[in-house]
Parts: sequence; structure tokens; C-alpha cells
Amino acid sequence: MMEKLGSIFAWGVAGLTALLIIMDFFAGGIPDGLVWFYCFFSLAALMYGVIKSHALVFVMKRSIHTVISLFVIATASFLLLRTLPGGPFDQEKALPPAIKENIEAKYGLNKPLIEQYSDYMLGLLQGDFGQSYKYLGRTVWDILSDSFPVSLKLGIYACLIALLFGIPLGLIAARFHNKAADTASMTLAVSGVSLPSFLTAVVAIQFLSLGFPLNLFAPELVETMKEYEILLPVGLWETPRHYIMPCLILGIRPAAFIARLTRASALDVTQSDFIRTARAKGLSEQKILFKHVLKNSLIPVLTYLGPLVAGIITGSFVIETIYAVPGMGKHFIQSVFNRDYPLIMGLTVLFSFLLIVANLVVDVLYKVVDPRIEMS
Amino acid sequence: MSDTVISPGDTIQENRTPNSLWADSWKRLKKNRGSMVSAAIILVVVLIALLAPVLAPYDFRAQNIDLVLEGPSGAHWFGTDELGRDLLSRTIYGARVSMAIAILTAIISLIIGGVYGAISGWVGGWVDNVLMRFVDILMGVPQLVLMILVKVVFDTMDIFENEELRALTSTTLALSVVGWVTLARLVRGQILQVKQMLYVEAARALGAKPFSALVKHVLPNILGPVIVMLTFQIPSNILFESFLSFIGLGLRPPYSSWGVLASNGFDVIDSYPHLVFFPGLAIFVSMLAFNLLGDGMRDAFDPKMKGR
Repeated sequence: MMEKLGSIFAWGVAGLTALLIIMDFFAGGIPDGLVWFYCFFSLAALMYGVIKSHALVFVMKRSIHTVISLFVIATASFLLLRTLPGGPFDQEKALPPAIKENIEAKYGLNKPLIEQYSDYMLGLLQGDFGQSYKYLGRTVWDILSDSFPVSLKLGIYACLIALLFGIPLGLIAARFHNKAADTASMTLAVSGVSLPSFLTAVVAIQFLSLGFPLNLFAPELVETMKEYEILLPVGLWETPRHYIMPCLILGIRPAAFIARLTRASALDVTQSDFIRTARAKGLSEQKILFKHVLKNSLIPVLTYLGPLVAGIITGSFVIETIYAVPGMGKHFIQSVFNRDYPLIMGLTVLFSFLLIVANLVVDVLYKVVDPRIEMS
Repeated sequence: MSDTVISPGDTIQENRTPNSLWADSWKRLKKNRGSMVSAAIILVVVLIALLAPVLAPYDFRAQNIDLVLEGPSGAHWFGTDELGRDLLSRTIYGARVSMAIAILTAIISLIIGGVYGAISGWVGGWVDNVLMRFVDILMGVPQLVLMILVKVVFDTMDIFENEELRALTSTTLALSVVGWVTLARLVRGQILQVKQMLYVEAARALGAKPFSALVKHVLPNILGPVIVMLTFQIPSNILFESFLSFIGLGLRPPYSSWGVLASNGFDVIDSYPHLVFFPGLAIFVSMLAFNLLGDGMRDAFDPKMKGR
């Protein structure tokens, strides 16, 4: 019975994920209710995994740890930002002192540092990230809640693409170790790691939306292709047709990383005793690969997924600039340029939170996948 | 495994000079063709960077208004940019800046991260705890924000008169602030492992002082993974440098680095793709070479790969 519940949860999450993707692509969007249901279902599945692998105490401890870490990171960034030379309202042309004083009073910058800090932290506890200095009249919360869902969607698709391509590529390379297939897939992977995304994005646009090389000798054909929507549009963020390309480009590097990681750990697993036993008792190579090697070699890949997911769902400046995606990545850069302290703080806290949660989820999955692992 | 099986009648060959780890690794690395080609490419790129004034056919700042945005030709192999500057010369000079930043950053990261990680791992106890919590905080903060913050603040401080020198220093500094953390973690982890080895204990038992045990017995044994990590850091530094230039924080024209060139050409990409293509190619090839060399070295240093 317990075993059955576990597989119901596992297949349920996988099936729901597939359903959501299909709906997003072909039904023109996902109803909010379904998204909530998906979140609750996944959370329930995770909780089930936690309880079943006796990791409840571990998770509670880690949750307390999370709160402390967030508090420390918020404090450290707050102090760092306030002690930096130069301020948010220093411009090339100095403001008249009276105006500057008024501005600083508005944002509470004239109060003593301790008071500013306690104000900010108390606000943070109530979910108030403060007012942006640069985007007048907008709170940091508004900015984040506008841009984060976009980056989240882009990032999730990119991660899925990375896993979908990376794991098979690594497995193929390990299965045909030192043969042509290995060399080919690893050449592909090393190239993928070495390509800057602005380059791949530019090349992809040339091929997928401008119809290169057809546009050189048959411009009419390219026009017709555009009419029948064979070529992909660049820019805007509306339908799946708009976001296939950015997701693909964003997924290349992680896919290449995952392929290399999968290959290395699959090779490691292949040399272990239980694989030799499996061979000795006459299992076919295919069966060994899928039943024994795949499962065991995914564990190191999991470790990498925590930081990867956190990094990728918080947006990528290059991709967002090239494809005009209204995501969060640009804020990471512009907020620092603008010295928009509340926005920097908000981004940092959100990022740290996501990173810690992602790592926690990875640790739990670890335990569920491999019960031998001790939780410390 | 099969070569260790001795059947009756075999004469056992005596291995007169016992191979050290380094000699063994070198032998394995030499057999890896990809790594050797990559090492050659890296050497060529470094030479190009060093000999830039000799190799570049034109002055990298010289403008030629009659030849603006030309495609590749016999006189200008890589074409010219929007002010008629020769792209080949600019790419050659760009190698200087890009490689200098990448390698300098790796060295600084090694020094800071190495010392930090060594102290943390070797001393242990509460020192280790405190030092690692600090690293955890740094890892929990978005790296991009940290990098740009350091860069922006340093640029406003006006330490150097020379604009190129200032941009070079601040970029290197910004990348190092992010880069040393991984090295510190690696060095600490390695030292924790090696510290428990019997030969270290033996050295201590024979009366070696802690410091000399660290320098003589521990450090040489963790050098392999550290070198591999450094080799992987250099390409990521090249990438970060080009990224900083892309967002307008690196050097500014007329000075040249691969990132500056690529981001400059980016504005006119639709009509003049060669302006992005050639610097992009330079970035790609050198990153590829470092990554392949790193792969080869990792395999060569891995004791499990012995005899394969």
C-alpha cells in the first residue's frame, strides 16, 4: 500500500507536469486553479517522501536554518550596501542640498543606520520589501511579482530542455565509452559549455527566424515561410512560439553541463561491483543501462540541480535583452547600476530564498532516491 | 585490471624507476590527443597576446573613415568596424586583455582561496566553522550582483588615472571576488581528506611541525585537483569578462577585448555579422581549448584511470 502511494505521487507529478506543458503549448495557457493544484500536489508528494524516508526532523532543522541564513544574508547585504561609498541619489550633476534632503527624508535615509535597519527588517517580516528608488511609485514587491513569473516560466522550460537533452547525451557517451558516439556527444557537450549565450542566441536568430541561409538567394521563399509561421518570431513574450527559442538557448549550457556530469557518474557506476554482477548473471546491456546505471548515476546530477534551478529561474540578462523578455534578470544588473538599494535587497533575499529551498528539495529527493544517504 | 594478472612462466618486469604521480599523469596526458591540441592552441593564444604589437597588421586604434564596416578582405582579414578600425588587429589586442584578465583572476583567486581554504581545513574547529559560514553567505548572494557591485564601486573610486588600467583592475577584482570562493571550498575539502591520511600522521609522529607537514606533505598531494579547477576557471573568467563588456561594464572602445568587440558588433549584428562572429569565435576557441585541457588533466590526475 505504501509502495503504491509513492508511485502514485511520482507518476502524478510527472503526468501533471506533462499536462501543464501540453496545456501551455496547445490550449493557450494554464488556468490558475490548476497551477495551485499542481503546487499543492507536488508539495504533498514531497511531504510524503519526507515522512517515508524519516527525514521530517532533518527538514524541520533545515527550515529553521533557512530562516537564520536568510536573516544573516539580509543583514549582511544591508550593511554592505549602506557602507559603500556613493549613494543612490549622487548624480553627475549634484542635486541642490534641500532637494536631496527631502528625497532622503522620504525614503528614511536621514535616520540613524540602526533605525533604518530595524525598519527594513520589520517590513521584511510583513512581506514589505519597500519602495523602489528608481521606479517611482512602484514597490519592490510589484516589480518582483511582475517579472519573476516570466523568468520562472522561461527557467523551468530551460531546465526541462537541459535535462531532456543532457541526460540521454551523457548516458549515450558512457554506454559507448571511448567509441565514436562518446567522442561525438562529448565534443557537443564541451562546445555547449564553451559557447557564450549571446553568440548562440545571435546564430539561432539567423537560422530560425531570419531563414538563413535561404534568405540569401530566395528572399521570397522566406517571406512565404514567415506568412505560414514556419519561422519563429524574435521578441515579445506571448505565445509558446515566442519562447521556444529563448528557452532553447538558455538550456544549452546547463544541458552540456548535465551531459558531462551524467557521463562521468555513469562511468563510475559502470565500474562498480553490482554492475559486474548484473552482467555476470546475463542481463542485457539495455536492461543494465536503464535499470541499474541510470538510477544510480542520476544522484550526482541531482546535487548540481539545486544551484542550477535557482540560478536559471531568476532570469538571464543576455537572453532577456536579446529576445526582449520582460523577466527579472535585467533587474539584477540595472538595480546595481541605479544603486536601487531596496530592489537589490529584494532580489538578493528572493534569490537566497530560492537557492536554499532548491537545495533543501534536492537533499530530500536525494534521500528518497537513495535511502543509504545519511542526513546530517 | 588484466595487466596485473601474472601467469606462470611470465618474467616479472622490474620497474626500475618508480613512477611518481606527476610523471604518470604527464604520461597519460600526453596520450590524450585532444588535450595536447588544446594545450598547443592555448600556447598560440598566449603568444599572440604577448606579441600583439608585432603581429597586429594595423594600430588597433587607427581609424580609417574610407573603409567603414567592410567585410573580410585581403587587406583586412576580419574586416573593419564602424570607425574603419581593423578587426584582426583589434582581436589580436583583445586577446591581450581577455587572457590577462582571465589568468590574473585565476591567480588571485588561487592565492586568496588557497590560503583561506588551507587555514579553514588545516586548523579546523571553530575557525573552520566561522570561515565556512562566511563562504556560505557569499554563495547565497547572487554572484552577478556582487560582481557588478564591486566593479561599480571600484570604478567610482578613481585610483588610476589611466582608463584602461582602471577597467582592467576593477574587472579582475570583480571576477576574483566571485572566483576565490569555489577554490577555497575545494582546497578545504581536499585538505580535510588528505589530513587524515596515514602518511601525514606518520610525518607528524616523526616530529614534523604542523606548518612543515602542511607544506611538505599535504599541499603537494592536493595540487592536482587545484590545477584542474584553475584550468576550468579560466574559461569561465573569459566568459564573465565578455559578459561584463556586454552589459557595458568592461573596457570601453577604443580599448579592445573580445567582449568589447562582440558587444560592440552586437548593435549592428543584422547587417554586419562578421563583427560579432570573429571575436565570438576567439572566445569560443579559447574557452573550448581550456575546457578540453581541463578534462584531459582531470582524467590524467585521477588515480582510478591508471593503466587505462
